[in-house]
Amino acid sequence: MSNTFQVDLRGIVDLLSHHLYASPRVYVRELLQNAVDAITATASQDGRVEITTGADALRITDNGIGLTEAQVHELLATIGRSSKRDELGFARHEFLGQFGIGLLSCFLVADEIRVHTGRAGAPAVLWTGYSDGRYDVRPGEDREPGTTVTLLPRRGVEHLLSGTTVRELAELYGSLLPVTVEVDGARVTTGELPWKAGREAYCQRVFGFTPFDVIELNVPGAGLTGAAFVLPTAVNPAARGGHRVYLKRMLLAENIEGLLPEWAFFARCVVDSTELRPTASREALYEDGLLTDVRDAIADQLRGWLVRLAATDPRRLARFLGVHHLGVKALALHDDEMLRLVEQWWPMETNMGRVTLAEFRERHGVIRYAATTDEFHQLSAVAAAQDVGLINGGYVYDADIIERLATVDRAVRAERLEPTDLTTRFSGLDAEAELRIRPFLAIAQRRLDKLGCEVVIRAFDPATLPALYLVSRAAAFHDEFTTSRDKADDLWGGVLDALAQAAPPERPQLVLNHRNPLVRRVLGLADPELAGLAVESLYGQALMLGHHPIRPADAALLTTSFIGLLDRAVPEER
Amino acid sequence: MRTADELWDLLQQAVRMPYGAARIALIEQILRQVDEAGDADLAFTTRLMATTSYVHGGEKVKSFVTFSWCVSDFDRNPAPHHQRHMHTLLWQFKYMVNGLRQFPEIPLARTFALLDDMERRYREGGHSMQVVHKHRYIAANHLGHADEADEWYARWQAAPRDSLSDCIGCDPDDVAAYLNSRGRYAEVIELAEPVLAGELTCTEQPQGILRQLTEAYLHTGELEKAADAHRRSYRLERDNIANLWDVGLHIAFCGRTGNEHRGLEMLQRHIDWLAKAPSPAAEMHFAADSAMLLRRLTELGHGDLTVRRQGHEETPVAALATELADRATAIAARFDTRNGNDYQSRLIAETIAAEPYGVEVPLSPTAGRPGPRSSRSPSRPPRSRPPPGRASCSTWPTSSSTSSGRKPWRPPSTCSWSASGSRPTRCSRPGSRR
Repeated sequence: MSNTFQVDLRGIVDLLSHHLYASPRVYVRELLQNAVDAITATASQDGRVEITTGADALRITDNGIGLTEAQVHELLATIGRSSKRDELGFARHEFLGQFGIGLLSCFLVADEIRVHTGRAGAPAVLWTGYSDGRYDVRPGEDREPGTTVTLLPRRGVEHLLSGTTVRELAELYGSLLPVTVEVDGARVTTGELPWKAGREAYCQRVFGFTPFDVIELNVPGAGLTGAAFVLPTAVNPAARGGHRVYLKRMLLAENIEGLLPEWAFFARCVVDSTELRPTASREALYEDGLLTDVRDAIADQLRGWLVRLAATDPRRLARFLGVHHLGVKALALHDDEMLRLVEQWWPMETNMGRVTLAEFRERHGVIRYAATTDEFHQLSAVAAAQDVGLINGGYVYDADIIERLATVDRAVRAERLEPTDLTTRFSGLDAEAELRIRPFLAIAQRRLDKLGCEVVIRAFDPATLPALYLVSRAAAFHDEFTTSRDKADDLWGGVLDALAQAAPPERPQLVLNHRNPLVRRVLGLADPELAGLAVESLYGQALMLGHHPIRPADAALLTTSFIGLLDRAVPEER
Repeated sequence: MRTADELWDLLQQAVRMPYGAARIALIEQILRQVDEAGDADLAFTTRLMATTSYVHGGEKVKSFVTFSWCVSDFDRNPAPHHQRHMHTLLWQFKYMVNGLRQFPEIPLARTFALLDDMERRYREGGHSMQVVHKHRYIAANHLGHADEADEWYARWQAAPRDSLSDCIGCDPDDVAAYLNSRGRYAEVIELAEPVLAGELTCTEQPQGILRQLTEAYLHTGELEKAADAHRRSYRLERDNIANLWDVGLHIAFCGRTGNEHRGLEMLQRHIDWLAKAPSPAAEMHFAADSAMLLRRLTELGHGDLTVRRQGHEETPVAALATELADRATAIAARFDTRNGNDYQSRLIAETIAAEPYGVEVPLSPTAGRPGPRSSRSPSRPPRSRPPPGRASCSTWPTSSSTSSGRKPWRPPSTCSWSASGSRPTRCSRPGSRR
C-alpha cells in the first residue's frame, strides 16, 4: 500500500514567502502568467485578461483554454511537489505545474482562493482553496471557456490588492504582453516593444539617463531582442547594475545581474527572450549553458559596436574611453580586439607625457613599464634622462594589459622595469679611472655592508643627481625574508632556509654618479673616515630622494654620519 | 615615507583589486614601508593580506615568508589585533600545508610538523578536526598512500563542519575529486549538481566543482554536459596564473576528447606562465598535461606546427612535447627523492602517456549533438589517480568585509568587528574578476 505525505499548505506558503519570493507583490505576475499561458494554449489571437478590484475581492478572468475537473484535482498534487529550487524551475515547463505553483503565490496575499474554470465542451468546475490547506471541488456555474480566479484578501495585506497597486503591478509586469490586459476597465498593455522605437526616451524614462549610445541586441538562438544603453558617465565597476529582462514579454525583473559579462558594466540593457529560463522564484535567470551563450553573444555585439566606433568615429571612441576605460581594459585582458583598441586609443601615463601603447612602441621599441606608481615616480626622471621611455603600469589593469599584448603579438616586447636594469643604461668608467678609485669603493662598501647594500659607480644623467638607490623586486623581498627569518621559530626557520637555498639573495645598489661634481670631489678625499661619512650621507640622501623606507638601521646611520660631518665642519674648541 | 594612515588606505585599495600581479605589486610596495610606520596592527594585517594575495595571485613561495612572520608575531608579541585576525590566520594554515608539499626542496617532515602545529592550534581554539583530517588526507594522497588516504578521507567526512571548514563549494569539490579518483562518477554527479544550483561565493568556485563534473560526465557519457562544464570552468580559470595546474587539466581534457586544436590554442595562450609557475608541482602538472597534448598532436601528424614563447625561438610541437615531458619528469624525480618512493614519477608518466577517452566532444556551442566516436565503451575508469590539488579554498571574507568600513581591520571603534565576523559561509568573489 502506498501513502502520500500530508502537506501543510500553511507551512509551504510560509516557506515560499520567506525563501522563494522576494515580495508578495509577485502574486500579480503569477496570476498574469497563468492567464497568458492559458491563452497561449488556445492559439487565439484575441486573448483578453480582465482584472477587477474591490474591497471584498480581486478577480482575474481570462478567455484561455480553461481546466478540466481532472486537471483541477491535480492542482494541489502539484503544489509543493518539490522543494528543490531547480526542480521547481523545470516544473514550469508543464502547464499545470506552472498553474499550481503560480497559484500558490496567491496565498501570500489571500486566505481563500476560488478558481472558476471551464474548458470548451466540458462542465465548469469551482475549486476553492484555503490557506490552512483545505480545499474542495464542486461543479461550477456554466461559463464561456476560460478561468476566473478570485482572491479574498488576507487581513493586513489589503493594500496589495487595491486598485492602484494592482494596476501598477499589472503595468510593471505585463505592459508588453501580447494579449489585452485591463485593470478595472483600463488597458495596461501597450502591445509593442518600446525599445524598437523612441529608445532614448525609453532609456530616460526607465533607467533615468540619456544614453551615450544605443546598441541593438539580437540573439536568435535565445529568441532574444533588446537594446543596450551606454551610460554617459563613469560608474564604479564593482556596482554591477541590473538589467531589465522580459521573458516571453513578461517582466522577469528590473535588476537582473549576470546577463552581461562583468566588463560590460558601462551598459544597461532591456531584453525580451523566449528561451531563457527563470529560476523558480521567477526573479532571476537560471544559470545554464544557454545563458552563457547569450552572455557571449551580447558581449560580441557590444564589442562589435566598439570596433565600429574605432573605425568610424575615433573621437567619439576617445570620449567613450575617457569615461569607461576601466571596463574596456578589463575586456582587453581576455579579448584581442579590445586589446588592440586599448593599444591604439588609450593614452597611458609615461615619463614622456600621455601616449598610447602603439605610439610608445613606435618611439621606444620595447614597452617598458613600472609595476607600481611608487616605482614609476622613483625612476621616471632618471629613466627619461637616459632616454628610456617608461610607462606607469600602476593603474588597474595597465600592467596586465601590457604583458598580454606581448603574448598575443610576437612583435611586441614588454619588460617590467627592474630598477637595477637601469644601471645597464649608465656608462661605466674606463678601466684606469675605476682602478684609481678602487680604494675608495672598498671603504664605501665596508661602510654599507651592514645595510646589505652594494656600492657601484657609473656615469649618468642628470649630472645634478649624486647618487641613486636601486632595489630590484627580489632584493626588496629579501628584506622581508630576512625580517621573517629572524623572527621565525624552528619549524618555519627550517622552511625558509630550505627555500633560501633555492634562490640566492640579491642586494640593493647605491649607484654613485661620476658625472656629479660633488661625487668626484668625494672620490678624491684622502681621509678614509671622511670618505666613509660622505658615502653614508649620499646613501641617506638617495634613500630619501627615492622615497624609500628608512629602516631603524638607516636612521641610525643617518644620524651618526650627520653628526660626524658636523663634527668635521665645525672648528674644534680652543 | 608614508604615514600609517596612508598605508592603511593603500592596503584597502590593494585588497579590492583582483588577485594577480598588480595586487601583489601594490602589497609589496606597502610591505616595504610598513615596519617604519610604527603600527603593529598594520604590520601584521599587511602581511596577512600579502599571504592571501600571494597564494591566489600565483606566487606561493612568498606566502611562506609573510605567513611565518605572522605566526611568529602572533606567538611572541600577543596583541589585541591578533584576536581579530585569529580566524584568518588559522585559515591560512590550510594554504601553508597545501603549499609546502608542492615544493620538493621542503623536507616532508616540515609539512607534517606543520600539520601537527595546525592540529594543536585548531584544538586549542576548540575547532573541529574536519579541516585537519582533510589536509592529512591530501598529504597522504600526494605520497600515494592510498589506504592511508582512504582512512583520512573517512575521518574527514565523519567530522563535523565548522567555521574553518572549506566552503560549501570547495568541500564537495574535494569530495568529488576523491570520488572521481576512485571511479565513482555517478556519485560525483549526484553530489555536485545540487552544489552548482546553490549559491557559491568562493574565489575557487564554481570552476572547481565544474571541473570535477567534466570528468564525471565524460565517464557517464553525458558529453554535452561535459563540454559545457569544461567551457564554463576554463573561462573562470584562464586569467589567473594561480590556476596554472588546473588550466593544464583543461588542456588535457581537450587533448583526450578530440579537441587537440582547441588544446593547442590554450597551450599557446598559457605557455609563458610556465616560466613563473606558482609552484614546482603546478609547473610539473602543467608541463605533463601539455606534453600529453603535444604528443597527441605529433601522433596526428602535426608535429611541425610551432608554439611561440617569450625569449625563445618558435618551437615545433614535437620538440616541445619532449622538452615538457622531460621537464615534468625531472620535477617528479625531485619529489620522489624527497618522498622516498616513485609515486609522483609514475603519476607523471601516466599523465604524459594518457590516451583519448574514446569519445568525441564537440566544444563549439553550434556543433551538432555529440556521440561516441566508435563502438568502444565510452570510457574506461582510470586507475586510482590522486585528486589534483586545488589552490585552496578562500572563503573567508576578503573583499566583502572591506566594502563597508573605511578601515575594516582597524580596532573597532563604533562597529564590532570580531573574529566571528569572518565566518566563511558567505564570501564574495574578490574584485571584478579578471
